Amino acid sequence: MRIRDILKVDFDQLGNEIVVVILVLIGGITIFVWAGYYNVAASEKHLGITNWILATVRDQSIAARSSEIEVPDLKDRDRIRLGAQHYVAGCAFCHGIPGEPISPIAQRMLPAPPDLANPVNEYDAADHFIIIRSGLKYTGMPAWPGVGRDDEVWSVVAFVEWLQDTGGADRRDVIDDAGPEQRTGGGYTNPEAGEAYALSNCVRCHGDADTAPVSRLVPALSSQSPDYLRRSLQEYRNGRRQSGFMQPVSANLTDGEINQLVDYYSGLAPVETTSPEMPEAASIARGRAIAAAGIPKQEVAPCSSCHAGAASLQYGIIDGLGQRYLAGQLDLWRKGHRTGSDFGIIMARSAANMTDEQIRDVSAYYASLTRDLSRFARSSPAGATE
Amino acid sequence: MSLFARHDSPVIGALFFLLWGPILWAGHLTIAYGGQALLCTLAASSADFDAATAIRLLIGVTTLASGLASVFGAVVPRLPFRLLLRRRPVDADDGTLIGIMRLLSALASLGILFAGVTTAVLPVCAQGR
Amino acid sequence: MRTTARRSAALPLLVIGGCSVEQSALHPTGAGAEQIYSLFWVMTIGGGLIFAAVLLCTLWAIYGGSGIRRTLSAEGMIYGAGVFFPAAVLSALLGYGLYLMQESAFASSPTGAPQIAVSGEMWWWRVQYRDAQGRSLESANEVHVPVGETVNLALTTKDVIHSFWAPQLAGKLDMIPGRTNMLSVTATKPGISRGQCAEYCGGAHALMSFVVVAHPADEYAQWLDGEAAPAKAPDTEREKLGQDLFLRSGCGACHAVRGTAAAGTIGPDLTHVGSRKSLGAATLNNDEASFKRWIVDNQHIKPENGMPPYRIFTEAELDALAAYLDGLA
Repeated sequence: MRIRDILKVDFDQLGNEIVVVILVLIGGITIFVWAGYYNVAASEKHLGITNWILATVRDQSIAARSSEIEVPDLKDRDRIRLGAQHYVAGCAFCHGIPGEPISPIAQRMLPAPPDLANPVNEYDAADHFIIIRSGLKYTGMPAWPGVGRDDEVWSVVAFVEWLQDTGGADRRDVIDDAGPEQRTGGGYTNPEAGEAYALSNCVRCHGDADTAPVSRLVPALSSQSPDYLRRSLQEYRNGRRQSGFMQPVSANLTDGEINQLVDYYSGLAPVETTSPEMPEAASIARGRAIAAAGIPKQEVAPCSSCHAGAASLQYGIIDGLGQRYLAGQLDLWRKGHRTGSDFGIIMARSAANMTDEQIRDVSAYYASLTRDLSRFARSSPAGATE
Repeated sequence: MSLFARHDSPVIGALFFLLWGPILWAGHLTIAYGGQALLCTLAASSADFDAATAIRLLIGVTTLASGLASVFGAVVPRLPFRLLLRRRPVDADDGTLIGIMRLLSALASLGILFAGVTTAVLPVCAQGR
Repeated sequence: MRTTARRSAALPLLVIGGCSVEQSALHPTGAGAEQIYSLFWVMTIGGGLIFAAVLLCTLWAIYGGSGIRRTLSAEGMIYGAGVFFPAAVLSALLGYGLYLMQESAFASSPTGAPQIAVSGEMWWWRVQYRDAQGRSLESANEVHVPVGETVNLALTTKDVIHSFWAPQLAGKLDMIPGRTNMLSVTATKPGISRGQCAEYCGGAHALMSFVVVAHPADEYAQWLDGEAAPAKAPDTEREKLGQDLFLRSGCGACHAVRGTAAAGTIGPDLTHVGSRKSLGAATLNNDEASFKRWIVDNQHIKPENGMPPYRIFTEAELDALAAYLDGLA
C-alpha cells in the first residue's frame, strides 16, 4: 500500500492545487493588509487569541533573555532611592505611584501599562531588567536612553522590586524623605515653570544648599568646577555622554538655563551627607599611593596629575565625591563607556587596566578628601572648548 | 613477505641497517639539543648550578659515542649487517645496500661532528638570536 | 615585446627602492655588521660559483657529447664532487661561522664603556644610559653611541617579544619578557642610521623603528652631558603658554620633562624631544605640525598605542604646545 493509495491523492494534480492554495493565501493577506478591515484602535480590545499569542511570545522572549542575567543586590537603599527619583519623573505617568492614580491618558493605552504601585509579581528582577533596559515592541514601553548604562537600569529595577514587595507602604522613607517638596515635583508635566522647573529637576537627585544628594550613587555638584558642569550638561544634551537619568532632563535645557544651573551649583558649599561612607584606612592609604604615583606596571597614570593642584579644572574636581559614585564611573570607563566626549576618552586608557580593588581604593581615597576650594583661584582661565 | 623470502631476512632490519648513521645522528641531536635546553633552563632558575661543564660533558660524551658508532658503521659495515639482518652479506644487492649505508654513515658522522663541535667553541647558554 | 621591456625595467627600480642606505645591512658602519657583511659576500659569491658550476654540469649532462657525459657519471666524480667537495666547503663555512659568532655576539666590552639599556614597549623604545660616573638618564627612540668604543646594550621588554635590529650596526637580537639579552655593538663610522623592531609585536609593529646616532668619540661625552641636563626653559610667550598647558593638562602623568614637575614614566621621556631626528618611534618627522598631529590624532597614526587622543585643545593651544615641545632641544 503506497501513500497515494491511502490518501487517495493524485500527485500529478497536487502540484497545481498547492499553487492555488499559495496564491489564495497571498491574495488573502494582501487584501487583509490593504483593505484596512483590521481595526488597530487602542480603544478596541484584542481578541482573546491575539492577546494570548502576544503575551506568550512576549513572556517567552523576556524569559529567554533574562536567564543569563546576574542580579546585584537590589535591597541596596542607594539604588532604591535613586531609582525612585527617576521613576517619579519618568515612569509614574504610565505606571502609577502609590497613593496616586495612573494618568487617564495612560489608562487608555493598549496594552495598558501595568500598575506597578499595586503588587503584580508577574516578573522577577531579571525580567524587569530586560524590560526596562530594552523596552517592549508593540507597546509604549521605551528602551533605556543611556546606552550601556546597566547600572542605572538596576537602580530603577531595585525601586520596582521595592514597590512590588512593599506596595509603597514606606514611601516617605524612599521617595519623600526629609527633603524639599521638589522631590516629588511634577517632573515633565509642567514645562512652563522655566528656571524653577529646571532647578527642581536637579534638586530632586542632586540636592541643594541644605540637602545632600538623594543617594550615594549620585554625585554632589556643590562647588564643582563650572567648566566641568557646563560641559557635562552639554554632553548629556547632545548625547555624547550617555545616561538614562541625565539625558531626558538635559534634552530641553537652553544654554541660558545651563549657565544658571552651573552658577547655582558651583557656588554652593559642600553639604554633609546623612550617611557618610566609611572606607577602611588601609584602603584609603592604598588609594593615596595610586593617586600620587599611578600604577606604572599597569600603565595607570597618577590621578593627581590631572585631578589636583594646578591642573585644569576642565577635568573636574573629584575630591569629596562619594566612593560609590567614583567607583561606578571608573567601572564605566573600564567597560569602554564614557568615551564619546573628547575629555572622557582620556580616562579610558588609565581606567582600562585597573582591578576592582584598585578602583575601590582610589575611590575611597578621593571620597575621604575635603574639597580644596583654593584650586579655583590657582587654575588660570582654562581654555574653553565647546 | 614473499618478495624477500629468498633472502630469508627481515625488512625492518635492512631499514635500520641502511639508516644506521642517520638514526645515530637523530639520537645525538635529540640528546644534545634537548639536554642543552633542559640544563640551560636549570641554570637560569638556580644560580649555583654550573651549566657550562655539565653541558659540555653531556654533549662531548654523546658526540663521542654516536660519532664513534657511526664511523665504526662506515668502516666495518659487516658487523652491523650481521647484527641487524642476521646473516652474512652474500650478493651484489647486499653490496649495494652496504655501499649506501657506508655513505650515509659517513655523512652522519660529519653531521654529528658539526653539531658537537659548536659547544666546544661557543658559550653554552648564550642567546644567539 | 615592449610590455616585457617595461616590466623588466621596473624590476631593478623595485630592488633599488629597498636599498636606501640608512637601514641597509649592505652598508655596514658597525663591527658586527661588517663581519656579517663579509660572511654575506663569502657565502653569496661562493654559493654563486657553485651554483654556476652545477648549472654547467646540468647543461653538459643534457647537451654534452658522450665523452663529457661519461666523465660526469663516473663514480669518482660522484664521490668527489658530491660528497667530499660539499663536506669540505661546509666544514670551512662552519669554521668561519663559528669564528665570527664567537667574535661578534659575545665579546665583552671594557668596563669604562657606557651601558645602554633598551627596553622595547608597545610600540616605542625606552633607552637608558648609564655612564662611568654612575649617572643614569632616560630617553626614547634614539640610541647614541660613540664611534670606536664597544657598547653593551642590555635588551629587555616589559610586554611582548620585540627584536632590536640596527642593520648598519649589528645583527638582530630578541627582547624577551623576563630576560635580559646583551648585545655588544661597536660603531666604526660616525653618522645616523635607522633600526627596526624585527619581531612581530602587535598591530603597530611596522611603525616601531628607531634611530642610531654614532658620535665621534670626543664629542660623545659632550653629547651625554647635554642629554643629562634638564630641559631647556621656554623663552617665547608661545612656548611658555605651551609649558603651562603641558603641565596643567596632565601630560606629566605619563611623560617626564626633567627640570619641571612632569615626572611620568609610562610614556617616552620628552626632556629633549625637540632635538630628536624623528617622532613617534621614527614614524613622523620632527616638526611642529607632527607634534600637533600626534597630540590630536595619534590613534590614527599608530592605532591602539598607549596615548589617548587629546582633542580638547583649541588651535591656538595646540600651536603653543607644539612650539614648547619643539623647543625642548
